[in-house]
Amino acid sequence: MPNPISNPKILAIIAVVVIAAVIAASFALMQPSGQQTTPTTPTPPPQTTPSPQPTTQPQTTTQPTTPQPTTPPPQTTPPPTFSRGSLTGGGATFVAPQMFTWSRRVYELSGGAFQVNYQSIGSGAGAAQFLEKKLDFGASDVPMPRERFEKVSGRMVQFPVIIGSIVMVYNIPELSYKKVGKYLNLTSEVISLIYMGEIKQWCDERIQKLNPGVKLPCRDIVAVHRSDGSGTTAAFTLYLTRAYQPWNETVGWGYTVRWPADEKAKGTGAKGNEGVAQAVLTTSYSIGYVEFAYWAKNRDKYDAVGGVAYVKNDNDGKYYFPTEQNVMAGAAAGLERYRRKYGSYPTPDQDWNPVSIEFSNPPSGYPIMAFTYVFLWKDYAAEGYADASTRVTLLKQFFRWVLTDGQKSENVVEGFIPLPRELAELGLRALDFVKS
Amino acid sequence: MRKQLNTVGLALFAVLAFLAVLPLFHIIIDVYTKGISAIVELGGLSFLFDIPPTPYDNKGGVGPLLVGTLYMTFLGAVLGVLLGFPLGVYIGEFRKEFFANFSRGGVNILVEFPTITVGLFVYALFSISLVDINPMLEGISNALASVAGGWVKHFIGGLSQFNAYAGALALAIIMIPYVALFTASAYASIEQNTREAAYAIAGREYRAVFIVLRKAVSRAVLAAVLLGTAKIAGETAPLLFTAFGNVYYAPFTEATGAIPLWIWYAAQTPYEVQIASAYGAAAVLLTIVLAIFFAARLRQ
Repeated sequence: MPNPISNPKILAIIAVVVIAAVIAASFALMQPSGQQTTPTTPTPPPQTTPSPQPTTQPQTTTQPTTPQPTTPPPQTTPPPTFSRGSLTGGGATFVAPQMFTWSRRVYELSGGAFQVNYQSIGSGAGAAQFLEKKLDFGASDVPMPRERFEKVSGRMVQFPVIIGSIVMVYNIPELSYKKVGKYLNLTSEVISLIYMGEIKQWCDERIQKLNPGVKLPCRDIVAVHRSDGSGTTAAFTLYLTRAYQPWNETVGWGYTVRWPADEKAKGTGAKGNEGVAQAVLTTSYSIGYVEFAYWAKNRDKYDAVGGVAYVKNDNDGKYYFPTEQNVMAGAAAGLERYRRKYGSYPTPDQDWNPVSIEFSNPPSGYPIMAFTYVFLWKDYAAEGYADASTRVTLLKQFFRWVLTDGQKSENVVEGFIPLPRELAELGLRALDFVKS
Repeated sequence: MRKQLNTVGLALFAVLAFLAVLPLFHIIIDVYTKGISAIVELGGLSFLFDIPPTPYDNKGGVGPLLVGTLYMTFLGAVLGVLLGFPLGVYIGEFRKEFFANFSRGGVNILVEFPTITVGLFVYALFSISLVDINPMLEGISNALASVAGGWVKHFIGGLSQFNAYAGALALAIIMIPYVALFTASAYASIEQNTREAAYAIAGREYRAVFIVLRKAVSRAVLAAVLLGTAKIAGETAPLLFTAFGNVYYAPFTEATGAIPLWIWYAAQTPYEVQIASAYGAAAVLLTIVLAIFFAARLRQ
């Protein structure tokens, strides 16, 4: 027979242990946070509108004359002040490590008073939850989709906060970087044809032509792509759409697309950037597209079995390696092209889809880029947020820091590329749209 | 010949049994070898209290996530038992009634439900009800805080859309059918003699069912409770849009972290330190689950 006393006893023990652990931990460690959010310091008075300093030399040249460390602070901000409180944001998975790092820096700078909690729920969910007003800010790999934007047009602002680049990694044991000491050259046309299943083997003359002096093996190409919906796929396919007309006519672009290579050749899907990265590492004669960091963190492993490709920018005809300078140059050139085409820089409260299209396949620089956009409301009180004024103060403090100090190399995570100055200033202007 | 066949058969079963548990031990050993070295590297004991590492850090931990997991699992388990146990008694002891059959069908469906839909249900529930319940909760919170002190506000107050209680509710809904079905089958297996005896000595029906008969099945029910608790401790999907996740210590009325959510995120990143923290977090979670599991086995 069961001992009648034993049940309550063990339940009680478990309960006591759990409660004690929870209370002790939360009580001891939550001290600095939590309490009512009372802004201890007011926001620094909005800097007299960040005058878009005439920038004369954004484009061309593979090695821009201004190397990274000299990125001048857009304006001399006083040491940032941070209020006490917390913000909740969510969205793109890609930007999560960077957001997390910014959040931690601000947490430390504020002495633990300012918590920005960002969760990677995916770009689509980020936009949706922001529009539902469940999040203080949203982040996405693509601008707010047009149909959704039209419903809230004039009420929200969006601006880029960081750039990512997408690299083409390949696995050809005979031609690994370790063996031959060089990386392959690829063009938008060849990449498109591989993923369209038209180029089936590495020794295809269209690839061979780009890589004279390299003996490509006659092996079938395994074209690895994402199986899940992804901003990386959106940016990658948008680039091919812009750069190679037949791709535009047959495949198009989006979070997910139908890959002709799956039927016509050896195309295969993998989940997540980490899945594609792993599949290319372990599958001989494969090619894949991943965010820069997934290559950079495994560079030695890739060099042992293959490498990362130089990609030709069709507009200036040069091959670019995905370095920080080349990607920043590409972003600046894309923005400049937008300005020429539309007569002015984009404003933060307009539809940004045309802007993202101009960023893709830019006139010069490394051509495959992915931006992360942040969504904010113009008037948090009117949108029905509780404690709107506190929230706005916190949001402005956080993103002002992100767009200035946050773009310095010591605050940018490996694999992410800081914004060119003109773009950071657009973001700062967006903050002035947000009503205090 | 027959003896030899017997030996061969037994050997075959032994091999099959070994193969069946092999993955389990492989997982446990893998998680612990990688997890413990990761924990040591990331700060040893402080791994249990620190906030998670950014790609720049080389130290970090699962503090806020551990607190969130323990709190939500505890609340979810309590709520799950409070609702699941009486339901199980009804289904098991009064199984001839129409509504008991009806409930059994419902519970059987619920146990197979994709857990993420439970999370969505709770999300929707909180979406529409917060406006109405928040003024009340704030009133209670202020009243309690004036009596007991400000710490009350870490637990009770106006709720954000994402909070620990939403997470706990989702976990409770997942737990209910486990407890109910185990309880029902335990009650159904009570012999008729025992039941008659219980009714004879207990007086009122309530006492017969909930006090006398309960003692006959308490071991099975307790095991069910503990197994259910172990299950919900490791759930990720129902927490996505309810607790949402948080990497800082925050009041339970706001977005709350949980270990499975962190593992899910960190394992996908390319940064070694975050991947290591995911292994460490997995070891911590596995320890919690195994501890509960062994507690359940010991009671049986």
